[in-house]
Amino acid sequence: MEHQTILSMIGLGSKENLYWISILLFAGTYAMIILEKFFHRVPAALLGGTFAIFLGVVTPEGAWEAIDHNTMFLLIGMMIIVSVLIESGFFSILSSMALRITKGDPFKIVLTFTLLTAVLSAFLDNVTTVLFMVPILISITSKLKLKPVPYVIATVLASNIGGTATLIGDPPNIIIGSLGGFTFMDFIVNLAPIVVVTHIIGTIIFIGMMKYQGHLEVKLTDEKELKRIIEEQKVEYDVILMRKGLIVFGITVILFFLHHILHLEAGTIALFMASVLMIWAKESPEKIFERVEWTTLMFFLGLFVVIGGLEHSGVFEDAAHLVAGVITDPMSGILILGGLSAFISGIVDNIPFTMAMSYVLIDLAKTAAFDVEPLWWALALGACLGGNLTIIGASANVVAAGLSEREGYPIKFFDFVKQGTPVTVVTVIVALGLLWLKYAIFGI
Amino acid sequence: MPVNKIVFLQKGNVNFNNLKVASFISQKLQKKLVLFLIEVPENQKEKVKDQLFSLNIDFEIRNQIEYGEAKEEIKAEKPDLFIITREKISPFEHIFKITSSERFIKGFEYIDILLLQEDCNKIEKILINVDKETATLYYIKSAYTFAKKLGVDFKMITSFYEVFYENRLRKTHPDEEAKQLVAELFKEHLDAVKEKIARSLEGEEVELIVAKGDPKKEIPYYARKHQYDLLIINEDINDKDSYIENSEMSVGIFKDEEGA
Repeated sequence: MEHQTILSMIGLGSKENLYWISILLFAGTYAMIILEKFFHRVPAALLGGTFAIFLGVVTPEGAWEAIDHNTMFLLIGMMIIVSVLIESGFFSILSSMALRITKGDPFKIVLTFTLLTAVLSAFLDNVTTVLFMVPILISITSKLKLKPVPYVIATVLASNIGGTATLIGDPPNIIIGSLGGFTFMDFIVNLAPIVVVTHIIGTIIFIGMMKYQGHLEVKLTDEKELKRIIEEQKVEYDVILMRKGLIVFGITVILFFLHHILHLEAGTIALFMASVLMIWAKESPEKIFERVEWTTLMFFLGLFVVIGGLEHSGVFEDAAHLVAGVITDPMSGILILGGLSAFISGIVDNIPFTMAMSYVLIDLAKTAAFDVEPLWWALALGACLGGNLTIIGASANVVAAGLSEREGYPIKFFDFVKQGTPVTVVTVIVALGLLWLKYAIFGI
Repeated sequence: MPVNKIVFLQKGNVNFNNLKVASFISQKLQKKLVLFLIEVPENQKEKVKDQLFSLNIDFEIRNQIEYGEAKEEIKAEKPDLFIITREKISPFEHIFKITSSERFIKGFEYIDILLLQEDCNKIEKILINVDKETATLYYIKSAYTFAKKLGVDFKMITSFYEVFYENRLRKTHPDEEAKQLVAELFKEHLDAVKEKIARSLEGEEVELIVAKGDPKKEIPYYARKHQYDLLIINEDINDKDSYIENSEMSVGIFKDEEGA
């Protein structure tokens, strides 16, 4: 039985019409997401997705299939595990240790906190890391009579760089891993070494800029006051919950390394381990779910359906032909796609862009005469690192700006650009250069 | 049947800081101090004796006991109080390691236990937790009597998990109404704890601190922040192990009823 839709009832149900309507829906949704001042991105994405079903661009079953379950499971699972770790006070202990190590020295503070943030971001999502680190950093720097904003920006930049290293570090990587069929180990092998070098260079640049701007000068010299500040850090924790959380988190990461051997998707592992943790921890599920970013999940849900409409109507196939005309070999493709991804991700949300480009690469792989794998890594580097370009380039930036403003230290658009743009330009060039070099030396 | 003795267990090297505290408790409570010295070097045994003689403590030494049998021996002694040294480790180390003393006290019932932190050489401030649900009148009275007899500064504390109730009620009630209901629950919590204390102490006055937050995290945090030397909790409290492991100080685990 043919599926009756509103469009077919009014005589607009032809394949060609659906093709253009799906493009219009995507463009409209994207426009609403960009116009953040007027629309929240979550209802915008949900409206786009449900409108696609409403008009019949995709069937309800097709919409359900368009949702990438692996991505959704991975996000939900990791958010639950992180929620338990937050509840246990693990991050409070880490930051308190960091403060004790740095002893109030601004240089050591920025170095320690950015390194800690980058490492945490590689294994936890960036928004969670920023949500945790920024309030602590603001509290410490303001007590030390330092300007918190440059430190907050440095932390956000480190978060976006660190998140690029692994499959679970940043939402674009989760999408790329799932749609491109890459394992956790693939990310470690292909991206982690590049990210380590990129982080070192990025750190040198933002620390250099902070030093030049005078943000690393010691303002509080009274030793007694310094000691009091360090000891006053409120550290509430639950050792048993932390132990359970870290054991489950550790096993989850080990299983991620083995997921291709176990023939299990990363999402299945994350959700399974999250369920084990909830049973074992005996914490109220309601308390744990409070920290799950439901709005992010809803955003993904809506976008998958909108993008599913494009895929269903053959738009990506055509886009792949177009891209194939521009990218004729993978080596130039690394630079073109990587650079383009970084620029676009810097000015608009990188999640819809990555989703759309992933489908283009899937279709490109069917027709291209070369292996498109290097392009996937270029997309990952560009989309993740490009997020540092402006304050709206990544969700973590927006969250950090919100937190900083709430504490009385607003981050102006150009303050961020002044620190973020040079770091982004250099890190993107270095990262794409290293990726290019890797394939130039070792072949594809 | 009153037994009037305190057992103090030491394995390997004697912790003389803790011995000083155990002697102090024994003196103040006027109970005999029975020392279980396991694998303790001879010269230290002599030093222990000298120290206790000089303090004029009524004591007895048992040093023929194997560590594996110590638990049963102590249970058979039925002491009023069992004291053991707890290794001092950071909360971060604690994630990966349960101290031997914490393992040792598992399975002890109907005995008041004192886990003395390795570096504890005095008890001058005691915090007694009064859990609304599980603290019994017997427990409150015995913790109070213990602190009173030591003649040190002590306070009672209870914690109300405000955020937990507020978040739950906000799902089903408008914000203002939820706040109102939480305020009522808080009052109810406080009244119940105050009533328990009043009934237990039969009119004797004691200062009660009211904290807000998850009790198993908030109470150890409060004790740490205000530099208490000892936190006392009741044996049947929920999440007992969490209270113990979250406290970077000496912890007393007092029984809820007279028995065994």
